[in-house]
Amino acid sequence: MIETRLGEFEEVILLLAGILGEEAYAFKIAEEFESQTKRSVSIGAVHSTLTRLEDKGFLKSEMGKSTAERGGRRKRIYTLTAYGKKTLATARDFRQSLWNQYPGFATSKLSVGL
Amino acid sequence: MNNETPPRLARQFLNYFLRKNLCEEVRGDLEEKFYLDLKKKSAFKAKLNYWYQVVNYLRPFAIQKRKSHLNHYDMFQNYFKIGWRSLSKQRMYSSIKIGGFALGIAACSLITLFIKDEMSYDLHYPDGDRIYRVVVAYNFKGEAGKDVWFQAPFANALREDYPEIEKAGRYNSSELFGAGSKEIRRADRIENTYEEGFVYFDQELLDIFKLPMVYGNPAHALDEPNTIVITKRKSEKYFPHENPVGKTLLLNDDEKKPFKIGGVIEDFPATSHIQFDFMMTMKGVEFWKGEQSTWNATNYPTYVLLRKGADANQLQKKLTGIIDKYLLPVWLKDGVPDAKVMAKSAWFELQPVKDIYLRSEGIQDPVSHGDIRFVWLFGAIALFILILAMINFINLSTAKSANRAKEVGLRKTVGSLRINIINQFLTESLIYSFFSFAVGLLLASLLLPYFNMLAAKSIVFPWNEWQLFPILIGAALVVGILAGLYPAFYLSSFNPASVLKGNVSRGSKSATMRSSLVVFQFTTSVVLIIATFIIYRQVEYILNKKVGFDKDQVMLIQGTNTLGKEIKTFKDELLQLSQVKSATISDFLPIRGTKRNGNGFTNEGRDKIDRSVGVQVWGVDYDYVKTLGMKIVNGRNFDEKMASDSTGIIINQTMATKLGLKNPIGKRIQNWQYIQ
Repeated sequence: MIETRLGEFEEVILLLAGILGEEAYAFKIAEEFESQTKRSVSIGAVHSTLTRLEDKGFLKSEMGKSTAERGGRRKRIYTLTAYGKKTLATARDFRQSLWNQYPGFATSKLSVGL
Repeated sequence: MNNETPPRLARQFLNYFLRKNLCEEVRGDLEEKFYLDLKKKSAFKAKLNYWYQVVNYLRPFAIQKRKSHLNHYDMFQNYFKIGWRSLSKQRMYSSIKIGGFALGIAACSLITLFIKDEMSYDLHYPDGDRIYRVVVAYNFKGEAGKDVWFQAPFANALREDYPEIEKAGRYNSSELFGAGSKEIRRADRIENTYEEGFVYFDQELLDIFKLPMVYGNPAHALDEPNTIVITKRKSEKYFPHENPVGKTLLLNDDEKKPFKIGGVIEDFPATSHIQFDFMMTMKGVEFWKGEQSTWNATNYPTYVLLRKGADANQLQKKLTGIIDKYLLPVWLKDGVPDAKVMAKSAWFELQPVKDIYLRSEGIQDPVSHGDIRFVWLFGAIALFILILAMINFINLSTAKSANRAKEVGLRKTVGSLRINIINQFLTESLIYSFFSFAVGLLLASLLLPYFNMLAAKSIVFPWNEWQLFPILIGAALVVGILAGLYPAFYLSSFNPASVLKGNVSRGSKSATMRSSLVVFQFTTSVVLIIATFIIYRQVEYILNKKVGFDKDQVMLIQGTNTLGKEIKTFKDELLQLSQVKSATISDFLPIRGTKRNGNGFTNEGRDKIDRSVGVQVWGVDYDYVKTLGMKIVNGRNFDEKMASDSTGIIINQTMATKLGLKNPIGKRIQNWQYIQ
């Protein structure tokens, strides 16, 4: 199960890659991460995580079209794989089930399709 | 907005380490980030952030792998491992190898420290390159010599007559004038303390040396009569934790002539050719009437500071003008024989201050010296010791080669090139070398206190000098490679087939090489041992030579001058002791390094005709000859009962010969002051 275990940072990056869709490349994801979490991160760190997630099969990537604003250089666009989506859902469900078992939140039971 | 671009160096760095297939996207991302930052923040912050991003790409996934490099690294790791194993497998052999090498390195580094200390004398003056000591040289009727003592008005004459000379200053360290040792006390205390290191000093000499001052104004510390400058350590001793400038010191209990402290200087560094603690001003000092203007007495070592750009070589040729202008007229007036020839046979030299300690061969002066020839000699010895240690190392390595032959054969069989084997043995030799250096340095630093005692030095190990470690590592590398080169080539030359069959072919070539190394090793050792033996015999000779007086059973009690008139009582008390056979009071010792008072004597009435004989004069009492075990060849000892003996004099055989006296008893001789 080691390959499918997601760290917190990995999970967020994976989600952001999904959210950004066509615009999901290292720099944009880092920007989005910073603006959404108010935590600073280097592009290198994000890039390294993206590579790792790709190795694990959660993401796949290909080079996009060239744009003038980056000196004609192409971007590497990441997209979620089906396996990636499933892993995200499993992670969310697992967490949800934990929340449900926690008595402190028993009163505000969220309806989850089970 | 503006034309700012990402910092070039950061871009080049990124290109250098980044994986080639990532280049496009990463550089694109970083550039986008940079131009976005540029819109929001200052150019500086954007650039800084670019650097930050680049550095954050130093991650394993993004760094270009350098495959060839990695392979070498692995190989060296293996050499290191094998080297370490063979080192720890043969403990005895390895410790002999390392121990011998370490001894050589320890000796070598001690000698190097000694040489470094010898070479570092008098480099601390701010204007050191313009400071010179004046030396007079003469060669008159076959009598040649050099010395540094000058007449009192000499310094002034130099400064006034030669525009190239900016400053000229003198000191006087002769005990006859009251320099040397004295009793000292603060004016507000009663007890006197015996101190050494007194000297008369010109304010101008302070200006020349620019001795760093702790308290007081360096430009006016000695410019009033009866002022004194003391060193920091003496200031701490007599005026702890206070500024003593303006306070009063009494010397030899002389309340009529108190000395005011004009300043406190830092202690003279151990590497200064002059070492004093109390500098009394020359201002207003005259040792006898007319002393400061006479050209007849030479008592002052004199130093000059040249103006910037002045040429010392040209200047020293012109200095003979002093002889013609001041000295010759005086000599002619006094009727000195051959005055004109004498004036032509003397000249002056300017000796750079940094040369005084090591390059004063043949110059008579009152300071202690090293000798540049010894520095060279010791350097050569250090080199030979190192070479011996290296040869020893080489021989030990090749002698044990049979043990490694199989390993070499196997390595070659599985594909090692000769260069790989050479690398392997060089690596091993470097391991030994670094070990030996570590042990050797440890040894040297442990032995340093004893070495200091032996050499009368105060050398400390320069651990905190930044150059030390690069130099040491460099030396260990060079020595390790030099010592490992021959064994490496020798061992790597084995033929795998014959080695694996079990017969190590020792070629005749290697035998010659090894025996010639051993011969060299033995020759050098024997030469060094013979040299030591000769030195030992010399010292033995010096210790046992008959010098005309008894050295073994005579003891000297110093500092009895403090007893004043009580000295007679003290002598009587000493004679009461059963262990004391005889006692005498004298102001002099017939050995070098004690008080000197060179005086020229001639036979009575011939002072204008003959060259005088230079001698030392000392005052003694009746028991002197008896106590020191001297023999009287002709005439008699002083007699307490004969009043006329108060003008009597006893001379030695050499002086009688020089004066041409066949039967000297009852003859009268004279010098400039006394007639006896």
